[in-house]
Amino acid sequence: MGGFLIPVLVIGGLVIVYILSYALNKNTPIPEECLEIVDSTKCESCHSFTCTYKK
Amino acid sequence: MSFTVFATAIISAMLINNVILMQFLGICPFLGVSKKSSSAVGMSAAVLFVMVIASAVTYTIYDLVLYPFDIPYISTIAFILVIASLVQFVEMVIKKFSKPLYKSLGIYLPLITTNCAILGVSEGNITGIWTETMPYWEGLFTAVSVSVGTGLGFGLIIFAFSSIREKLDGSNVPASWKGVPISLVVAGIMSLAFLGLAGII
Amino acid sequence: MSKKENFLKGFLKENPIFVFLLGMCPALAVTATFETSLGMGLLVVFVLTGSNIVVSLVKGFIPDQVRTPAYIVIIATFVTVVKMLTFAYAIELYDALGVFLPLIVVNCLILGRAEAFASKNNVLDSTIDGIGMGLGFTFALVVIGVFREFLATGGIQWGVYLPFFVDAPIHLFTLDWIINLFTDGFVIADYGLAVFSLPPGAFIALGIILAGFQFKKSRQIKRELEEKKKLIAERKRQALEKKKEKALAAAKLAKAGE
Repeated sequence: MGGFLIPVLVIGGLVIVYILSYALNKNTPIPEECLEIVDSTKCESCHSFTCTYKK
Repeated sequence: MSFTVFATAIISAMLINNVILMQFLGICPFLGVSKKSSSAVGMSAAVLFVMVIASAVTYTIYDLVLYPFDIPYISTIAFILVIASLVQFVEMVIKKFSKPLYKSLGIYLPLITTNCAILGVSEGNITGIWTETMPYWEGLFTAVSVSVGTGLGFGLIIFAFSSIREKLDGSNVPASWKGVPISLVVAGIMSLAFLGLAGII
Repeated sequence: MSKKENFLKGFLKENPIFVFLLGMCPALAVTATFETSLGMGLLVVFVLTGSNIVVSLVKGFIPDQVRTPAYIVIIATFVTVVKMLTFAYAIELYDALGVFLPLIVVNCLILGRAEAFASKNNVLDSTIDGIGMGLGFTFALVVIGVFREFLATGGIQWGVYLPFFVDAPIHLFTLDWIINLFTDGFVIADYGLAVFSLPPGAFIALGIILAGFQFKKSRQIKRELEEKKKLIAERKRQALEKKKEKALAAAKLAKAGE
């Protein structure tokens, strides 16, 4: 049982850390003077799936 | 932990085993982003930054958590999650505390979460550097040196390629070679040049 | 879209490498020989099909905010399974693929299919899509691999990295015998372009193949344009004739009126 529990705990912890950091990042506003440089139409390059500009 | 280790790692990762031309990691940003020299510089700075932090963190996790608990087989899952959350975290911190830094490289940060170069270097550190008997600090130092060299090599090639590309835009390329095919051939010729550096160490 | 179309679309029409330029890193890195390309492709088929099935099974239970992390965990699990299987049954392939085996996780194709297709369709369609797209990816890798290995060594080998069905490595295909009809002791491997098995050859080979695809596409576009032009000319001619007929009829009417 112990051999099964530890990896699940580690992965679960990491998933929670990811979700937390994702939520924190989403809730932090972009500084106002930087708004114009974030241009989602220019994003054609890498097909990175966690890109926050996609939507 | 010496200067020799650092210099050897940098030169070999930057020039001999170049991340794009020899290891084929990070081809997507190489073909996509590097249209303008300025964005190439910002992109490579962001990659260097995240790569150094990510390889330090993943090496630490492997050496201090995964190996002692006898679960090295989950390293792939653990590393991708660590890198993904690390990028989100770094972006948040930069957004909050340093506007100039966000202005210069913040916009490239979310793009590189899954840049295979970063995961590739983290995995390569484990297969290439990590051994059971190696002391933690020594291994960490080597891993960070390699990732600095890899990041610099990435920047060098992206910048050089973006300069070539600006020149290429004005030239008369046959219709069927326009875009990606001619870029790949140019990259092949650059790679041929870098092949000549093999064996200088 | 019928099931057959769904299966076949990955080969040419929506080929991940040749059309969408997804997954270029493995397409360049593991295609030095036919066998490594085939091995990598089959591993991707397995991971893609497995993750598509699981994603379409659990699509109702995952909240929208944690979709991406959940998909990453599912895909990474399948990659770990594949890694262990390869390590157990084909250690040469494991060594040859190296870091690109765990890097299947970040292959844009797999998460792209999970997000774009499997999270919106039922299990059967997702399975077919996974197998079809994976085989399309395999097809592209094999094309590049055969091209490179043939130019580098003058033949195609089997049994080095995938030691199945044969006891010792064999040549599936070489050109030696044709030239040996005329002379003796000719070994084509001495005349291979070794650069195509090295990194520069990967870039150049993929560049040549992609240029071929663009050439075919531009020819097709040209042909369609010409057909359109012909159609327009035909319509114009017909309209002109009608006008002439009308004018003639009007003239006749006018004459009759006089």
